[in-house]
Amino acid sequence: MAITAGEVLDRIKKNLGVPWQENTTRDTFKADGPATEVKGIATTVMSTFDQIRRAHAEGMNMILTHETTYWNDRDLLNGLADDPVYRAKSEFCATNNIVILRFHDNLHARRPDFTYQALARVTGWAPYEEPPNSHRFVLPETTLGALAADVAKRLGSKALRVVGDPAARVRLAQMGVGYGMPRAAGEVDVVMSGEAQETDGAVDNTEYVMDAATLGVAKGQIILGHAMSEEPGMEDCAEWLRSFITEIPVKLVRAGEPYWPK
Amino acid sequence: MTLPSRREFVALAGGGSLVAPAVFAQKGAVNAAPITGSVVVDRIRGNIGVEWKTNTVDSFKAGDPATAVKGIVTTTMATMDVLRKSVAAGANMVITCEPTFFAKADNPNAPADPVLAAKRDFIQKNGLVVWRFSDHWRLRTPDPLAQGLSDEMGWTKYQAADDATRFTLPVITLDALAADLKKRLGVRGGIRVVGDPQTEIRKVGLLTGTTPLAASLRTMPAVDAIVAGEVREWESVEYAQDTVTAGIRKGMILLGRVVSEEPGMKLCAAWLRTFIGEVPVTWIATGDPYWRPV
Repeated sequence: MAITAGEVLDRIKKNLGVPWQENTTRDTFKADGPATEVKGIATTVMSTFDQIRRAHAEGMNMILTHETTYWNDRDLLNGLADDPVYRAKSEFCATNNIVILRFHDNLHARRPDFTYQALARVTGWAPYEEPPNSHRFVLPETTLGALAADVAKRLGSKALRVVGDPAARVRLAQMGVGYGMPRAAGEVDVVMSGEAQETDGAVDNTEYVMDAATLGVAKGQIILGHAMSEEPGMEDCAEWLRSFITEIPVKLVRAGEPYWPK
Repeated sequence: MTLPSRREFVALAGGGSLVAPAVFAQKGAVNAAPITGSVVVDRIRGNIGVEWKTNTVDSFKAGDPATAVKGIVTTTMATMDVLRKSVAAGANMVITCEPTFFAKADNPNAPADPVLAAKRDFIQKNGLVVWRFSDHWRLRTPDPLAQGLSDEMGWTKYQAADDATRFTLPVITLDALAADLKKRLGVRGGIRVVGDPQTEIRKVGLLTGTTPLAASLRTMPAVDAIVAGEVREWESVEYAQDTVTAGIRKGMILLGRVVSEEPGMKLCAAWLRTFIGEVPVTWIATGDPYWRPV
């Protein structure tokens, strides 16, 4: 049975549980549009060229992506017309009838937010969240080194980065997702998120945690990578979509870690 | 004052390793005339060769500018560790490329916090003067951060004549290039790489510090690999991934912002010594902030 991309979007809006924010530059179509007939939906943390090709290979032509397609937050195409990578990616989409819809601001507006919910589950931290939906976790006391090693193992991460004394005793954790890191100052022992500016921002956690370590104050910062922190949420998103889209296949196309460590 | 040429710049940087000296060399020829923090900054302004901005982060962050300077330390980020090492080495002026008080705003008084208070008190107790040097240092030609990294890597002979950020290296795999960067820059755990490890690299573009997508879009078509400090994952990293998926054999190596700026601040110490003879000027490494769990 046929379903259009516009119908997919309508059903998402109806099932979101909060009013869809129309005032967004993010949650719009990035390739093709609502009239496209959809054969299958691939959710993905980032609509990389590889994710698009893999979705296509599996017979899916709608990409529901959390992050950007054309490498900037608004997916502006200024100056890209002659870029060989832009040409290859956009031509592949046009040739293969690919429709791309970004699902970012509205995904984060939903409660619970899939990204936080899934990351808490995958890391094994979920049972320790106090109070619920606070992204604050009272973990069994451990060392920063052991905690980071456990998170890396559970996420399958090889490239995550940690700041602080590996021997620091940590218990109270604050979790973020994507870009931006909870503040390491205050009562919290360890902060964890996807991606954060290294220095010269509004809150420079990296230097703060380095100095805490020098002073013998137990603090830690775990930087997972943007995609690694939010990919589990896009798996939960696919499961949610399947509860109201039954005509066609819906599944996560897993990206994994974009980097290898050296 | 004329600007040093590229060759002079390279000579200034000298050899040496990225290991910070434990103490200043006790040279007897040091002139005893007092020099204050303000005088140091005035001389920098007189020698920088670029117009001084009115809106700039390059200002005193802590301490009294009228302090008589005993020794100067340059560093990438004035961490507590760097401040302690500076005091141990007998220096009381720290020139830092990045902030001191955990934000661009560099406010030593807010918010109330034990780590911030301990750092502020250490600076006060030891009579340190901290001055940030970022905006203007980066504006010099040739790009001193790229030049410093080039010197540290031994790449200067491969450097483009008209661009300190571009190199044509003897062919090397992406994997071996990342390994070489890690070794020579003393990286602990921060290097992350996009691309097939066996990709053959000859042309390299350096993007030190933090750079937007536009820098990658401009650089990638002309090189085999970008070596960058810090970029955003949804911008340049995705672009590098897509480049590889498009069948274009290239790569991107991310050093971390601090690591990418370290050799440039080492070069800064050498540059300061060309016009500050009264007191010792040395460089102290901030070090790679990151490690990976085993």
